[in-house]
Amino acid sequence: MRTILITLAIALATAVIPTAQEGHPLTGTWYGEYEAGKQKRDLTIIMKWDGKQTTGTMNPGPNAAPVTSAALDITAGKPAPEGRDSTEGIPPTFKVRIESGGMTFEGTIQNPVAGNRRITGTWMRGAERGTFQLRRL
Amino acid sequence: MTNRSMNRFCVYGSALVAIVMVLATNADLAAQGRGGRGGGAPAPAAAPTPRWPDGKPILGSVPGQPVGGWGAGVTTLPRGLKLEEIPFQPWARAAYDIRQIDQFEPHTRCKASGVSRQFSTPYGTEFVEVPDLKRMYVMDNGGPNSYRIIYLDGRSFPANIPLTYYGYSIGHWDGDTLVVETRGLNEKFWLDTRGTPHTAQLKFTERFTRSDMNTLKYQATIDDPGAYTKPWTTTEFTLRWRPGDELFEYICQQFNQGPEMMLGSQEEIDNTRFFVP
Repeated sequence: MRTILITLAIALATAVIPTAQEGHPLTGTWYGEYEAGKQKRDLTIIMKWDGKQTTGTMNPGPNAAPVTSAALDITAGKPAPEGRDSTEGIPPTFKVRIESGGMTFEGTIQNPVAGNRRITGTWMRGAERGTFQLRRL
Repeated sequence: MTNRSMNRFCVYGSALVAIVMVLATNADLAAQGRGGRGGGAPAPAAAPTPRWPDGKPILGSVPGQPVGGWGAGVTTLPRGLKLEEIPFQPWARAAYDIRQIDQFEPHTRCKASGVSRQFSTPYGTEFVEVPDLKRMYVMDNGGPNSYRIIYLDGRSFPANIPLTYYGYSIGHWDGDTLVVETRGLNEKFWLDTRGTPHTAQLKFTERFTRSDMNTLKYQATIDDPGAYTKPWTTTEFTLRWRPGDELFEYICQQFNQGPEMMLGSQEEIDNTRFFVP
């Protein structure tokens, strides 16, 4: 039963993929896992940027929890020196903090403006903590 | 002049004429290459703005005259503006900055790219106006063989527009300027070759003014509360008429292994290269 529910949740999550590829870095469906002790648990977060705030849902299905907070912390990059190839510039970095279901996720977005972006970092809930990783579907 | 010297004169003269002809032919071919493809003859002196019987300007080819298209005219929407003047939200400015480094635009992966990006393709853009149907088709050659429809029948935007690459465009005339508003754009493409960002909340307004036969003025207003703190308007771009340009079969090959060969300037094509992007 649990497998069916998880499968359904993923199917529901993937059904909203077409809404974003290149837009706001957090918008879209993120799927991955987090480590709890020696276990790895599935993690799905769906987020949407409305222009002022990011809202969303963690683990859609019977155990769904709303995203209560999702924020970006952007550090500006540095363009390539005049006359040099643009790829020699230093890109901005995007750090993210997401709160949902009593858990806090803090991580860094890799390839933040590409379709295959990922978030890796650590999660916390009280004294518990561990690593997590998500990739944009 | 002796027979021998006459023969020499004839031989050298013929060779000179042949060389001049070859150079002239090569120059013509090179000019066609710079024009984008065959048929890119130099534009004639500007004639007045062509008009339909009802007096509205014709934005595309003129009935009874050879078809043509518009050359690339929109480079990057912030052109002529300081980036600080553009009301980017912080994430949008950061996204724009990243795209100056990672220039792998969706268009290079055969993604249809709507509104202003339709006027950046080096192979040109064609307007096909159908007055009886009160609509216009905008076809950017070099894209994924699709087109945008601009409705001119006075309709309103429907509720819940599905998000697409070309969106839902409605136009009306403001004097001699066609004003087109587009909504329902997805987030899977860039608005220009430099990666000016947008979200699905975008309302994109374009102003097209054909000031004479060979000149189309283009200006856009970006109203996207998802990416900008307030609406902003570009400077005016100029597209040039290319008589003789016709749409041709263009196969956009996904999984292109040579994206670095895509054009940088969007202005010139060297058709003499072994690979033509």
